[in-house]
Amino acid sequence: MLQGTLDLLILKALAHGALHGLAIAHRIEQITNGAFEVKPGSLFPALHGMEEASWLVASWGESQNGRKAKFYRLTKAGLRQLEKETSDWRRVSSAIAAALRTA
Amino acid sequence: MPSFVSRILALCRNLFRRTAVEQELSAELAQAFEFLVETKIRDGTSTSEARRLAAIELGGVEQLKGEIRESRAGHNLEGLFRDVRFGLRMLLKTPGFTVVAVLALGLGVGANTAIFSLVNGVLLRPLPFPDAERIVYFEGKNPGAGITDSNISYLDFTDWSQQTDVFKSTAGYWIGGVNLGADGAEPERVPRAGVTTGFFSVLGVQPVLGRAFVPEDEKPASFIGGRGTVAIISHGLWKRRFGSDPAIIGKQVQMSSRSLPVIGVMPPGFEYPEQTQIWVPSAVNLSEEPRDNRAWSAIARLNSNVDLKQAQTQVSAINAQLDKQFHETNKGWDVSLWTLHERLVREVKPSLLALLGAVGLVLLIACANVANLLLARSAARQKEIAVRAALGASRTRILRQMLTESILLSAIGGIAGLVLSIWLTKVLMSMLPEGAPRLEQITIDYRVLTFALGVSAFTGVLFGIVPALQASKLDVTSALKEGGRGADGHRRTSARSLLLIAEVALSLMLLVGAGLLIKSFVRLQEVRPGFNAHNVLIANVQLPYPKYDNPQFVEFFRRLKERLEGVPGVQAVGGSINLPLNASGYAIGRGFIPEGRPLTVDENRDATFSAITGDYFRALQIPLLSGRTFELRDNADAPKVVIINETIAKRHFGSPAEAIGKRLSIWRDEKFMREIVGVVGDTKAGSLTGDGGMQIYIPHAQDSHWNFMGLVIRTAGDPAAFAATLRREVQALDKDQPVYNVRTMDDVVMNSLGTRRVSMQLFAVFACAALLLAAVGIYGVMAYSVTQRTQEIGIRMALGAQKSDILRLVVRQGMTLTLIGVIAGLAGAFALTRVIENLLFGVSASDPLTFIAISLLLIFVSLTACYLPARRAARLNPTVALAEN
Repeated sequence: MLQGTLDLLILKALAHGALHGLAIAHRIEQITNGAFEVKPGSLFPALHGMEEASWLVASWGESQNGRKAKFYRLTKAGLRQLEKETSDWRRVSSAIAAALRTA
Repeated sequence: MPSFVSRILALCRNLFRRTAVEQELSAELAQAFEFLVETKIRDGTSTSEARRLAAIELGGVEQLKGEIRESRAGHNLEGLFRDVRFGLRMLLKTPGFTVVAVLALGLGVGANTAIFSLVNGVLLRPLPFPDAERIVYFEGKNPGAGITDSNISYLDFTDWSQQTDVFKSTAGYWIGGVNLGADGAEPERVPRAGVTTGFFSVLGVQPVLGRAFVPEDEKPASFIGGRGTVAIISHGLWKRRFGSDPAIIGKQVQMSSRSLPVIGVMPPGFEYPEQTQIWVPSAVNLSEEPRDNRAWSAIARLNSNVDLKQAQTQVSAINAQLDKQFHETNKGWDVSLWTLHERLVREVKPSLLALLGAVGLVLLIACANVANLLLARSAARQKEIAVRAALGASRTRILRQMLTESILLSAIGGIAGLVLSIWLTKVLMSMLPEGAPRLEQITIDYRVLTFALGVSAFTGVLFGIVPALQASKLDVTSALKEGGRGADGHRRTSARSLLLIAEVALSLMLLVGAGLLIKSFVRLQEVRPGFNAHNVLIANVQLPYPKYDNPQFVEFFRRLKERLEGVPGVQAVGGSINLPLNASGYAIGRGFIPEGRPLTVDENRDATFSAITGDYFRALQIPLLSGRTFELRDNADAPKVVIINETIAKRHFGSPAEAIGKRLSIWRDEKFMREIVGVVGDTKAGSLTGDGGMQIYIPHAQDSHWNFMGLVIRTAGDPAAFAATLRREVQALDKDQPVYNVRTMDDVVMNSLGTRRVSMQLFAVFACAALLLAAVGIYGVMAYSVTQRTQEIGIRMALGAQKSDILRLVVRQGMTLTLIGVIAGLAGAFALTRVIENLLFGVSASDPLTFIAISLLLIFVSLTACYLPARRAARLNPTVALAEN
């Protein structure tokens, strides 16, 4: 996975509401049509880092099956970060696509 | 919320709410595990299989936690805390080592900080004047006549400063004490300065009360009797003598025979020059001032676009003109410009820097010793370190741990040192000679703190790096297998050998320096001052004019002598305006012309001039070589007489005996000839290191305008006990008359050795410390080496080596290292002693005797330090030695 894409995918996955850790991984798998499978070993360090950067806030809530779980939710800063990373990504990917076309 | 704020909050949470954060993490991961298990069960896997698969998918929980922790803020800091905690635990586990190391470092850092606070206060802190580096001092010199550090002529100064535009403002001043009293209060002598109007603006300091001088305050003044019309007083005098009277302005300050209205009070601490308490305006009548009256001091403030060098160039050029124009008075006279700061501290600067260097060497030796201790300790810790390395600690991780420990050690040592330095600084200051410059500036300030901190951190890395590198280079397998006495032990030994060589070399350098200084000091004490200082009390008395006048000056001192002679225990009483070793603080030179030999301009016939009273020569036991001393009959009406010293007699008259009956005149002051009635021995006029030069004496009665006398009283017992008697006798003649500068002549001699004595003592202390440290270091290395070689020695003995062979084996190893160190040290000392060359007296910086003696001393000490472990090795029982492994 490209450097920085994990952050972007996590932000995107949370764009429609709060999720707990592994549900985020599940959601990423869904929205990328199964192309990205995020392992807990990369997911949790990323979540904790983003939480400390205050893009995400965590709170303990109840999961669908009635268990207590730690839910992550986007903050305003996280939303801004998502917009910024999205436009960055678009610029980079179209540039790379253009480069590949000329070659 | 800006990102960095949230980071800092996260950092705080991670550091201070660790347990909560960790619990939350565990809960989160437990939940994730359960989630995985449930998902898998829903997909139809059996419960036990689901748990197994979930565990695999999640990875090791502890490992995952580790990865998450590493992504957190403060991860490195936390590691540091862990290292520090662990380091502290290790240090507490070996209290003996820790105490020795902290003591060595504490002493090293403490001594360094103490010396540095001296250097800081005296050399580094700027003078307490605004833009002090722009204030320059004019110093007269006449290289041809061997005169340095002279005052200057006011007329010359006027030309220097007015024919150029490099100076923003200029001022001349003179220094002379004044008697306070005659207002019922205790008579007191205080330093006073006569200054020209620009004085306070050159220094950039204004009165806190009242005003500074204006040109209208100035009245022409002569050097001795400054006739100011108003006065400015110091803050201290205002507090002490006037009870901080807020309405002081306009009140009179009562000096011995007249009083002046106070127009200003200076800010606290301002006492320039030389603890001045009263400033009076003093202008010069340019038309009457002689060009060769070199009695003035002068300062100036440079314009902002000018540096010292440019100013010197300009002034030198003007001075060259003056030399041509006023040949008779100015021939050979030159002027040097100094920044005021540099000029105040230049006498002590070389000593201070040499001391700083010396104490730095002691610290280096202490570091080498601690490094040796650490090496030995890390040898003992090999297994522990090997285990850590085997468990996956990286080389950097181990290096960091070891360095943390040594820096921790140096930090504790540094704190101990800082505390110690506060006390040491006080001791140092009490050792310094009186009159040493800028002592009031010596305090612990941020520079001193930074220095102590820097030195501690530096030493921590310095003594920690070698052992740490050694430890981290460890070969894990061999260390675990056999406790590491193989190749690694060898490498460690070579590091220790290098440290030993360095220690020997450094201490040799220091010892040679100390040896040279001690030898200089002994030479200085062997100098014969030309008089006997024992059992002599000296004191100054200055009679106020116009309360007294010329004949009364003579009469007063004659009567005082008679009274003092009546006191039991007083053996002889005399006085001179000009005591040897500059003990009266007043020196005056006069040219003279032997009869029939007209003065040529190029010839130096400047002699130290003294008007004397009473039994001066008998009181100081200056030997009479020929003729007679002055008697009461040599009064104002009698034929004019003079006594000369041996140097003049030999240089101008052949011999003391031949000089008697010849005549000379005192140049420009007296138009008549004086007959030489006596020749006395030479005395040291200015300092013990200088030569006495030519000296002439005349009876006070025949040059009666001197109102000042340095009294000399030879006593049967302790002269200091007569101080009160002297005061009583003076005040019996005049109750308002203060006696000041009361000291024994022994103290004067001691004090004239001043900074030399202190720097010699300190150097000796540092050198002893270095020698001790080196001895301990050599012993430590050798003892360790014997332990390392136990097996080898056992085999040697089993194969038939004698005790003497073993002894020789060990001693040879130590002595080889010592000799290499001695050779390196000799080379270093040869280079370094040049630095202290100007602190030496009567001994060359490469004095072979000192170099050889010190080398032998060090070799002897090293031999002793090697012998003890060697003897232990020789006494080893081969069976036991071999069985040990």
